[in-house]
Amino acid sequence: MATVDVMRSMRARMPWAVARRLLKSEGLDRARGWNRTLARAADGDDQYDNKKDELQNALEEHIMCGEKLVQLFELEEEEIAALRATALALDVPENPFSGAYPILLTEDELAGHQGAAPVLAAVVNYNEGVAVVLASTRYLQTRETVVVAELTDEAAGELAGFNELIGVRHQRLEALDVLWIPEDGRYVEVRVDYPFGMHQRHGMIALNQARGRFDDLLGSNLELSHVNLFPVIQSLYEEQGDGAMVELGFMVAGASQKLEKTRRGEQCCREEAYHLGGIGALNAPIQVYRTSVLWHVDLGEDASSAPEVSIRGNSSHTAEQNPFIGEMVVRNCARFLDYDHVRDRILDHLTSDDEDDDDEL
Amino acid sequence: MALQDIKENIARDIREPVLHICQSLVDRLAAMRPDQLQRLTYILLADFAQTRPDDDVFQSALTALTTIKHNPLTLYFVFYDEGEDREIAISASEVMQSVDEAVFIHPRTGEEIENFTGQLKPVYKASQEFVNALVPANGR
Repeated sequence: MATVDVMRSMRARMPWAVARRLLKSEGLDRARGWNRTLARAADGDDQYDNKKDELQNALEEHIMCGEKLVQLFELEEEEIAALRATALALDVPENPFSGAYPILLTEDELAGHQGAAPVLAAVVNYNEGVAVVLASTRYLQTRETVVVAELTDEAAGELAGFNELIGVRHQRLEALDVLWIPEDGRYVEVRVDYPFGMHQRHGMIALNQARGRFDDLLGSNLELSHVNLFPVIQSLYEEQGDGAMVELGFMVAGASQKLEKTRRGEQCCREEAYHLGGIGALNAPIQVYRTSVLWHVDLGEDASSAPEVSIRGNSSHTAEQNPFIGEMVVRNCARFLDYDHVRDRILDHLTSDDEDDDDEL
Repeated sequence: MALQDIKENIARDIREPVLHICQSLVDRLAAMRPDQLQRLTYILLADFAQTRPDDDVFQSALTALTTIKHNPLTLYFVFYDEGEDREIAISASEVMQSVDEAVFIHPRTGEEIENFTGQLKPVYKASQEFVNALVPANGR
């Protein structure tokens, strides 16, 4: 495969903010923006060609970790070992996705696979775990402002009565959904691709479809071990200094609903003056239901990554006796390194919550 | 009715072990400003009572505090309006009527909601009588 195929595949799934940092960590010069950088590689660039293997590794890691909607499942050690053995024994069928993996099919090639159920594209045995990868074609609907100056005179004339024109673009994407079976630990993950612009309900459909397909392939029933992430929100809120909390949704006993956001990476909602002042005026604790937290992870070569996790409930979760949120969104990860950092932080809060429960009993 | 009268009424009409939780809840609520007694969830009230939300005695205490004469708490429900990402308060009587008729209409859109019972979450607020009693007691 050519370097440009690797770069085109990276372009198809990696936000520029992530790619920029990743390329910098590989010591590669970037042009301004994705289009110019891709054009540079397409024109033939020794710097990029010499790094083809590293770029392909980075692409594979991004398939494992980049822009994912994630569910966790807690299993016994023996169950995980059995799942791993079954996964490694899977026979990956010949299909266009598996033939090209990790290179992504072009949008035209994807047209022939629309509406088809996810197919097994790869089983990869890493040092840290086994990944079972499903491939399918998904649609992303984006809304873009139409620039009138770029229309023909005839079209612009027809639309002259409108002050603003919005176009809806349907884009085909190759979705690569991963079942991650770790070498160590007791949490198996289903990670489905969740690019910016994808509606959460579509992500949930993708998750359920992928989990069902993994269960079919491996003879498992993961739903029985589905992990509740709701307690992690409160735990993260209480752990001041653990990343920067850039979004916080909560209810107060006075019945008002609050959603606070800070500029990314600059300030933490937990420590922000307005928040502290408000909390100080209350007679009862707030009830948190939504949060996003980001951390900074060193990628080397003076490049750092800003992975971010979001656990998004709604206000009515706080009115339930046993609220359950089964998903988290993990964004801005370039590699295993930053994804694992986020996952470890979440597992830390999850297990500390279990320990608190044990202490109460 | 004064706060002390409400407390004496509770002490007279409710038996242990429920009484103990009722009294600790009322003492905790009486220390709060009335405007902060509008959305009291199971989790929050259980935190006040230092118990678990699904504890049977705690649940009995909430039932007692909403049904006793001069009840300090009022039960109502919240419906989450996904389109607006905000809650709509629904009275207990409206919910009972919906359950009886097996029909619940979205308060904003007017559309019928299927499987509505799981989407109506019970919460509590201080009764008007309790709030009236707090004002002279707390001077606010």
